[in-house]
Amino acid sequence: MISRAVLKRRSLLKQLGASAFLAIPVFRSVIAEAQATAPKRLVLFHFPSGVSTKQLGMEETVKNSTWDYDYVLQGLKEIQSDVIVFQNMTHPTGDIVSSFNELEGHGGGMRTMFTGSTDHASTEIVPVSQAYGKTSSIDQLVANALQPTTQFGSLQLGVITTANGTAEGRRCIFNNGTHLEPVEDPQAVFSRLFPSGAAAPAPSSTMAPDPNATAELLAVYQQGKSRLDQLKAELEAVRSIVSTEERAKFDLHLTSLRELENALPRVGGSGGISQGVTCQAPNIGGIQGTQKNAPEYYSVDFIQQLGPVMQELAYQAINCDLSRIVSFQWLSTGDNSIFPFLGIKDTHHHLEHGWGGGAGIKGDYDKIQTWLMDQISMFIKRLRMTPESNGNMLDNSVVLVASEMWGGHGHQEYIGLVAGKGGGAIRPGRVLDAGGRSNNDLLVTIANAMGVNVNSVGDPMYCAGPIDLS
Amino acid sequence: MRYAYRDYTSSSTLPGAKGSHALLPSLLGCCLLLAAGCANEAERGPGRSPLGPATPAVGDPTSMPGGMPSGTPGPGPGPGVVAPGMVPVPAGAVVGPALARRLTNVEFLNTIQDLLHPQAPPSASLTPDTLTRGFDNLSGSLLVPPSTAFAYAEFAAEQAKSFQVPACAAPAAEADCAQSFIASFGKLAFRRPLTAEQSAQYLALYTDQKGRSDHAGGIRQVVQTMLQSPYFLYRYENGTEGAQRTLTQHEIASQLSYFLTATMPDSDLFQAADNGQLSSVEQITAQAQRLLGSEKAKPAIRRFVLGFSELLAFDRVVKDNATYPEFTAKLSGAMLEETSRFIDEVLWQGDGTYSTLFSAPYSFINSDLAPFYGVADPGQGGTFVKTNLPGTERLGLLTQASVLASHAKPGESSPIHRGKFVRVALLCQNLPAPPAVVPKLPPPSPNLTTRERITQHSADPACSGCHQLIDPIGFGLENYDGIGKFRTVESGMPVNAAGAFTSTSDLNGAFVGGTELAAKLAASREAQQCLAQRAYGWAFGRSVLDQELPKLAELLGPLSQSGLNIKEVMLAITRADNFRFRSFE
Repeated sequence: MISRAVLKRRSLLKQLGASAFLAIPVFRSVIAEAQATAPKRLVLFHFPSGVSTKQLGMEETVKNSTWDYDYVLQGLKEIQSDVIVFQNMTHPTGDIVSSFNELEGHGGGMRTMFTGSTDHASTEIVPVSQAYGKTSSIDQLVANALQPTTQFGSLQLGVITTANGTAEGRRCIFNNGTHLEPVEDPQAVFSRLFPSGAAAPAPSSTMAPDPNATAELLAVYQQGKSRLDQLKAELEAVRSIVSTEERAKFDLHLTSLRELENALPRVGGSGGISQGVTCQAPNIGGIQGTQKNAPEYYSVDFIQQLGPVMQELAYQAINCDLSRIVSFQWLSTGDNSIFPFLGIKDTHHHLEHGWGGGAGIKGDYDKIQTWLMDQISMFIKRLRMTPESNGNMLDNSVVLVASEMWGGHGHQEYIGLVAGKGGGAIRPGRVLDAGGRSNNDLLVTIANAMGVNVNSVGDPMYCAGPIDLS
Repeated sequence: MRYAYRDYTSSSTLPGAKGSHALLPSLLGCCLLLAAGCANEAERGPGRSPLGPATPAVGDPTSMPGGMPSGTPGPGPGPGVVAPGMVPVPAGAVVGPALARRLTNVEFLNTIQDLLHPQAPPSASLTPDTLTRGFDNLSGSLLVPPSTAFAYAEFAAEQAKSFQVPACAAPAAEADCAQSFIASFGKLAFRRPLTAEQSAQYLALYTDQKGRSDHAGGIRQVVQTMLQSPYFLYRYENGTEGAQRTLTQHEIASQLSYFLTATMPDSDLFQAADNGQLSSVEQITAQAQRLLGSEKAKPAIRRFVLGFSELLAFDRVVKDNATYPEFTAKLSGAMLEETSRFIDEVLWQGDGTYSTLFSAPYSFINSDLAPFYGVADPGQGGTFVKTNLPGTERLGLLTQASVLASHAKPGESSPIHRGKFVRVALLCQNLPAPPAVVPKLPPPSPNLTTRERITQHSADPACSGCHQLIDPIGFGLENYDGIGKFRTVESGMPVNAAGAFTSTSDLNGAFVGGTELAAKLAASREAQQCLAQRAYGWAFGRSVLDQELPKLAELLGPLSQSGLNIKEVMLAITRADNFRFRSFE
């Protein structure tokens, strides 16, 4: 049984037409049909720079803010029964953020948003390998605990996180102190997720195995495997002779090679896509062949094409069960992008800090934040449109959407929402007053919903236990 | 063209630091004082290395499994035996820890260029290297997370695909061809001879793949693997054995070549290492002299000076369009090009000293920059022409647009960032972190100059302890606006560019304006020592350790009389104990 047909990428794109990925139909995930219980997924979204207040001059609380279905969350309005919006939730960085030297709220918020950790030092002073203690973000904490058998234990994706901000400004995903870079080149994501060009385009039961394709795939696998075996042996050898202090570098590198190994094309049911899953490599259309270093990559309007394509890749990674844990970063904190397609000429970062300065500035800023949340809403809706088990994929997912701070470098309240039911652990459809609890407790709750029993995430000083979301 | 040059603009990220940073428009409000911690002087000296002091430990001389390269071809030295060409560690050697340094992106691409000579310049979708204190080569920041491993793998696959497999005489000789290819290419790729065990492993890899394809396929598999190998990607410094170690000849060769040319050793260096001729200080320094005379040294040393000036992420500097409409990509590109050409001129045509770097009356101007600097257009369009700048306005690197624009805010100058840049980056002094609660700076006001607003703000006793160390220096640069343009009036009021140094060894006192500040720095021994410390860190991928400072000063001693020749600094570093020895635990 072949679980993925070998289709050359170019011919696939030809077949599907190069116009736009939107031409892709929604493919039904049949994982649940093959399994008694659908797997749970965890998706984290970051979008930068928070929200403004509904009116100028209002006190900066979430309740007073545009973090509301009539404002920036309008894209989620029709599915608010699947969403919990949080109010009155605190942020541990509120206490300590300014000690992060020059980054103020930006870097501090990024570091704690998904980690709840305060174990950080400035990379201005120490190397990045030593700057984050033993911090793990919630996705990595869950991945480490569950050890998913999918090809990718977790995926880190991003849209233009490196172009217009700083290195620290995009660091929010960590595994045991190591920052995990988001991959933001759609070509690279595509070829990693779908190395042979496409996943099975038709239900496997109707697809006869192609012996030639199987042999080709097997050869690609074997070649890659023997190369990686050699590299792993070399890394082990080097690891054993370097100083104790340096070994962690090679541990990380070995982990990275395991990810490479997981990404090798497989034949049959030993790893890779579960049998019976129907999934589809997306047509990445005009993005195809665009190199990250090409000037147009960072052109101002490109985000309009790039963002949805990256989200589609994220969606298909989940739909194809290539990974159940995905983080997705929209831009970086302190992002200097401009959005001329929204009729805005000022930089995002400038507007973020300036929205209190007048209705015009605030209007521009709100437009961008609304646009970003519209994009994220589309992803959430995509999960919701995918039938699974007795419901849909969103029912079995936890999608955490958060921002690192408010415009004034403040962390008055955590800007966050959760979509999905987490397989029944979460009862959405409400605005929840967290009563001043820290977002650490939300992270604990999410870990529990994912089946990881912990009482504390990040800095224990900010943990009071899970928040009841059931 | 060397890719180092291209890449410093295309692949660096901001360090999350310093005033070059567009993240920081409201940072002006950032008081740099920890309320309880900074009543007196700024901490002097470079501070402790994040790597910590190296505590000697007993190494295990027998634990060198396959792959441990030896200093010479053939079997490695047995326990207790120092290989030919290797001198034992002298008593009292002052050394730092043995590191495993991943190639920076620039080093990686340069090495690929020299190893494979591809027709098209190599480029790879690599994650930008993190800058720490302005530099991209701090060992602790150079890691291989999954995204980087994928990028290496993809790059290696591309290179292997287009690799021209050397012809082999006859099918019967293919195994021999493969064996000799593995030995010769492997030695270049790994920058040391392969051990017998490594050769055998790669031959097995070749044979395995040949079975699935053909001879060329087998060779390509070898190339593709070697280009992702830790022996290719890392420079590790394991030397001989024990707690104090002598670096192998090939480790020294790589250290020389990456330090001075940002790429793999050339054939002369390989030969010297093969013959054990990198043992004495004299031999090493002679090779360093030779390398400094090569074309490849130019972009490498330029990159160091750019890092020292915190300009490796200059391409990410963003300005407010409304305030500075003239700050276009073209103009900012010209600013960086100006500085690059200036550095090259001082180092390779001029006397090459720190003093000249900070006091040369000339720079390189094209038609875009001429109006910016208020000088006559050299009339050659985009071509840069060596031109004297107005002597009361400009003097050397510190007063160039690139440095001033990157140490400012998007819509205004920033005395705080500029003062901090001088004290931390140029004088190697550390400042404590700012306090937990930072009062906001009043917004720009039509009635106040930047200086007046900051003076008001920093008067807060919780802030003044540190701000008095940085603001008065930065005030001296208030004649330059947020993009480095000279001004005498701000908000309709005359600019006051009176500045002052305190808490330094030889700079204390008042000065007025950027040119006087530059002249003070140019003559300062403390400033020169700082550059030497940064160069030392650049050479070894870490901070200089406290215990290394006296030795470094000793090596530099006579040099600073002549204004500190930067190439002489590099040569002095090649004489340091750490160039040949390491501590290991």
